[in-house]
Amino acid sequence: MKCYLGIDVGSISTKLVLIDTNNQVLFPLYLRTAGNPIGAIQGGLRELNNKIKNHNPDIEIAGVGTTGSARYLAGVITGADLIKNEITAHAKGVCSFFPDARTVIEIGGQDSKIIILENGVAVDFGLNLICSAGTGAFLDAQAHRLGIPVEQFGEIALKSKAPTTIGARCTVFSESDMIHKQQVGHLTEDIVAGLCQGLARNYLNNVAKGKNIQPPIVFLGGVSENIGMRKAFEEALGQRITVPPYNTVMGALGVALLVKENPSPKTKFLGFEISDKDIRCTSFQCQGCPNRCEVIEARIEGKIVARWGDRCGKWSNLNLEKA
Amino acid sequence: MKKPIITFARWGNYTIAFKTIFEQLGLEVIPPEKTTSQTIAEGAKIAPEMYCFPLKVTLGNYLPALKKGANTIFMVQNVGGSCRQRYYGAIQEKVLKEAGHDINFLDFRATPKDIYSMIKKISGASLLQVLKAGRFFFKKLHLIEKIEKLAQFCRPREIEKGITDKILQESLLKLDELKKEKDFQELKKEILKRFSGIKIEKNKDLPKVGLIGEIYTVCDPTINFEVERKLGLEGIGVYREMDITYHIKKLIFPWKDWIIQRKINPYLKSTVGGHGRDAIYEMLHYIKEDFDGIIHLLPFGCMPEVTIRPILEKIHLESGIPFLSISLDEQTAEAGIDTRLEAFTDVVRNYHQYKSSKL
Amino acid sequence: MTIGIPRALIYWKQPQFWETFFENLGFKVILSPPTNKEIVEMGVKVADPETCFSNKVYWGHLLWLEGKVDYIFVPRLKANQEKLEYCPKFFGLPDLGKILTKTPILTEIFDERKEKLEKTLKRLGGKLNKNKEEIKKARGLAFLKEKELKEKEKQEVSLKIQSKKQKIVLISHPYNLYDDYINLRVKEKLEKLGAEVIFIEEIPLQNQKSKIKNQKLDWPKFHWEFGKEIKEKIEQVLNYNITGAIEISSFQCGCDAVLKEFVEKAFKQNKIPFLYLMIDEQTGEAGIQTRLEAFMDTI
Repeated sequence: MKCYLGIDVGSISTKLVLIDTNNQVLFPLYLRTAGNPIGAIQGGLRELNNKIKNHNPDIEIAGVGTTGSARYLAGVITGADLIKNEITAHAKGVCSFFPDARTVIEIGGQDSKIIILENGVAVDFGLNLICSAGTGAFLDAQAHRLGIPVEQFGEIALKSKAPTTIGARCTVFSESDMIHKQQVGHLTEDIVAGLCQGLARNYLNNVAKGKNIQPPIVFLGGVSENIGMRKAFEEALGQRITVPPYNTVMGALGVALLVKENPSPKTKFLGFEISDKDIRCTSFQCQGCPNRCEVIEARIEGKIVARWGDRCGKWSNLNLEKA
Repeated sequence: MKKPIITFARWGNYTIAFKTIFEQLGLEVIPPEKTTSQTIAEGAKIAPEMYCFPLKVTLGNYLPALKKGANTIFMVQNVGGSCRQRYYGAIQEKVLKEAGHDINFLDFRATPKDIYSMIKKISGASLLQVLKAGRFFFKKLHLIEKIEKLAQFCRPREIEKGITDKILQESLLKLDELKKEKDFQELKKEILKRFSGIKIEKNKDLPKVGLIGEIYTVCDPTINFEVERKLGLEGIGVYREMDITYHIKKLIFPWKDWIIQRKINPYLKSTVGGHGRDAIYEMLHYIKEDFDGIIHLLPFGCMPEVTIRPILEKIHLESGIPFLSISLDEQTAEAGIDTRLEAFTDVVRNYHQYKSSKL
Repeated sequence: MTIGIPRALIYWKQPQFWETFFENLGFKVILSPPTNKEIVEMGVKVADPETCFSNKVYWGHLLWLEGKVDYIFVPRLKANQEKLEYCPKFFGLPDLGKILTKTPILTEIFDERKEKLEKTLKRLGGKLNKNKEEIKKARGLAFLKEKELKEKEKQEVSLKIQSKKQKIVLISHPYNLYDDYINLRVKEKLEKLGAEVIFIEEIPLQNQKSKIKNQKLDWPKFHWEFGKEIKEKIEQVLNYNITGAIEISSFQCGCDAVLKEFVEKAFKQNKIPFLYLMIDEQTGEAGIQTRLEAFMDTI
C-alpha cells in the first residue's frame, strides 16, 4: 500500500503524519523536539516504523514532505521529496478537512500565525515577530510560575468569573504584572483566565492586525488544546471557533497531502534505517567574504549529505558525493 | 589638522559610487564595512535603543573603518524631509564621540550647494574637479541601477541557475575597482554585453511583485536579506521604482510630487515625511499594472512608513492583491524572513493563477 | 449639530481652545472623556502595532466619539507660528481617522508657513456655514481663553519655583503630562514622595529683556516645534535650582528617540539626576512606583 509521510519539525514539537492514497490518516505522531530536532526526527521515524511493522507491514512510503522551522534540516536527513513552508502546509491541511474555512489561527510553541483562505488557497497571512509573548511558550512559562500543569490551564481558566487584566505583550513584563496581581490577592483562576485573554488580545493586536477575519474560523496548534484559549478567542472575536481533528499535527498532514498531490516518480526517501544512523549537524563560518555566512553541514555516518546557509552558493552548490 | 581619511554612510551597491567621489578628488578613503550581522550588532550596541534601524546599521559600518584609521565621516542629512533621518548626523556624532572616537563628523544637507562647499572645504579641489568627480559618480550610479534592474529581469528567467547573480557580483566588483573615468565606457560595454549574454526563457509567464517602502531598506540587499534575489530565484518577477535616481528626479522636477499627491488624494492628503506618499502611489500603480503582490519594506517603527501602513492595508483589502509588510531591525532573523517570503511566494502564485483562470 | 473632539494627542497642544471656538460658533461640543482603560484598549486594537502609544490612545478617543456626534474634529497640524513642524505622525491623522470611523471627519490644514492661523480658522468656520463676524468673535473668545489659561499657569509655576521642597521637572509632550491615566499619575506619586512637580510645558519663556543669563545648550537646530520649545525651556529651567529631572516617553515615539539623547545630556552635564520612563498600555503601576521611589532616594 502506498503511503505519504509528512514531517513538521518546530522548535518545541515534532509531528509526523502518515496518510494513504485516500487521504486517510493512518498514524499521527507528536513528539517533543527538546532542542534536538535530529533526535526527534529519528525517534519519530523509529516509532512509526514499529507501528507499521506491527499493524500494516505492507506499507510502502511513496513520498516524504517536510515543513516547520527546521524543514531544511528535516528534508536533508530524511531525503524529502518536498520541503514546504508551514503556512502553505497548514492551509493545505485545513482545506482538506474544511474546504469552507476562511480563517486559520495557529498557535504553536514558539510561533503563531494567521492564515486567510479563499476558495481553498491562502490569500493572506501573518506571523508573530521575534517575541514569544503570543505563543505556547508564554503560557508554559506562566503555568510554571503559577505552579499548575499546563494541561489543566484551560479548565482552570473556565472557572473564572472575573478574569484579571494582565498585559501579555512580553513574557518579562507580564510576569512582573502577574506577581503584582497575585500579591494583591487575585484568584488563581482569574489570573489564568486573564492570561488567556491577554494572549488572545496580543495575538489579535499583533499577528492578526489588519487581516480580514471571516468565519468559519479554525484553531490549530498546541495551544488549541487549551479550552480556556478557545473561549478567550470566541469572546474576543464574537464568533464560534472550530478545533478540527488532528489540530496539533495539521502542518505535517498538510505537507503529506502536498507530496501526495505532486508525487515524484521515485521517492528520495532515505528509508527508516536513518533513524539508527549517526547523523550530525555542524556549522562553520565561511571566511570567503565579509558576509561571514554560517554554513551548516549535515553528515550521515560521517559523509556530508548537504550544506546550506551560505548566500553565494559556494558551499551549497558544491557537488556532494551521494551518501 | 590631521590629514583627513574618509569614511561615509554605507548604502547597498551605491557605496561603490560614493567611494568614487572621494577617490577622484585625491582624498584617502576607507569604505565602510559591508553590512553583516556582526556590524549591525556593534552599531546597535552604541546607538540609542529607540532610534530607527538605518542609524544603527550605518554606525556599525563606520566602526571597522574607524579602526582601520578613518577619521572623517560624511553623513548626508535631510534625505527624507520631516523624519528622523535629519538628525542622524547629530546623533551619530554624539554617540561616536561618547564611545571615545576622535573624529571629524561632516553632516551636510543634500543640496548641491552644501555638498559642494563641504567637499571643497575638505579637499581644496576646484569647482571643475568637483564637477568631474560628480560626473563620474553619476555614471557609476546609473550603471549600478541599470544592472540591478537587469538582474531583476534575468533572475527569474535565467536557464542556468545563479548565473545572473554571479555576473552581477563580478560586475559590481569591477565597477568598484575602476579608478579612471576614461575606462568607464569600455567597462560599461563589457558589463552590458555579459548581461545580454545570459540565456533566458523568453515569454515566460511570471507572477509579478512590486517592492515598495523606505528607500534605504528597499535599495540595500544586505539589509533586506536579499529580497529581490530570493524572490527572483523562486521565479517571481520583482520590480522596484524607488532608487536614488527616482529620489533625485523628484527633487529636480517638483511637479512629480504634485502628480503623486493627485493620484493618492483619495487616501492621503498630506506629506507624512520620508517617502510615505510614494509607497501609496507605487502600490496603486502596481495594482493598475496588474501585479500579483506587493512587498512593503521598512525599518521597524519608521515614522512615515508606519503612518501610511494602515492605508496600504486598506488598499490591500479593497483590491485583494497579496500584501506583505516586513519591518526590519537588529532583532530580525533571516529564517523568519525566509518563511514569510516562501509563504508569500505561494500566495502570489495562487493569486496569479486565480487571476488568469478568470480570464 | 454636535462636534466631537478626541481628548488626546493634539488636543493637549491647545486645551480648551477648540471647544471654546466651536461653542461660540453655536455648536454643541462633546469631548471624549479622560483616558480610561476601555479607550486605550480600543485604540491599541485598531492601531498599527509599531506606531507610538500616544497615537494608539488617540484612536481610542476617536472611536469613543463614533456615532455620538455629527462630526469628529481632527485638524491636520503641520507647522506652528514659528514655522516649525509638528510631529510628522500628526500630518496623516485625518486620513487615518477616516479609515477607522464612519462618522465624518471635520478637518483643516494648519500650516502657518503658508497661512496665518486666523485665516485658517476663517476657512474652517466657513465650512460650517458661519459668517465672518461670527467666526471673528468665536476666534477672539478662544484666544482669550487660551491666554487666561496661560496666565493662570504662569502664576502657579512662579509659586512652585519658589517652593522649598525638592523640585522635580517633568519633561514630556503635553499629551503625556496632562493625561493622568497615560502617565500613571506620576505627578501625584511624586508629590506623595514629597516633591514639588514642575511640568516643562508650564515654564513660561522669558522675554528677551530678562537679565538672567540662560545656559545655552549645544543642540542641533530642530525643525520640530517641540524640539525647540523643550530646548529653550530646559535652558531656562536650569536656573531654577531643581533637584531632579524625569523624562517620560511614549513607547515607539520616534521624535523622543532624538530628543532623549540631548535632554539627558543637558541634565547630566549640570549634575542633575535624570530618570527616563517609557510608558505604554502594558506599563505596570507597581513598576513606576518602584522607580520613582528609588529615584527620590538617590536625590
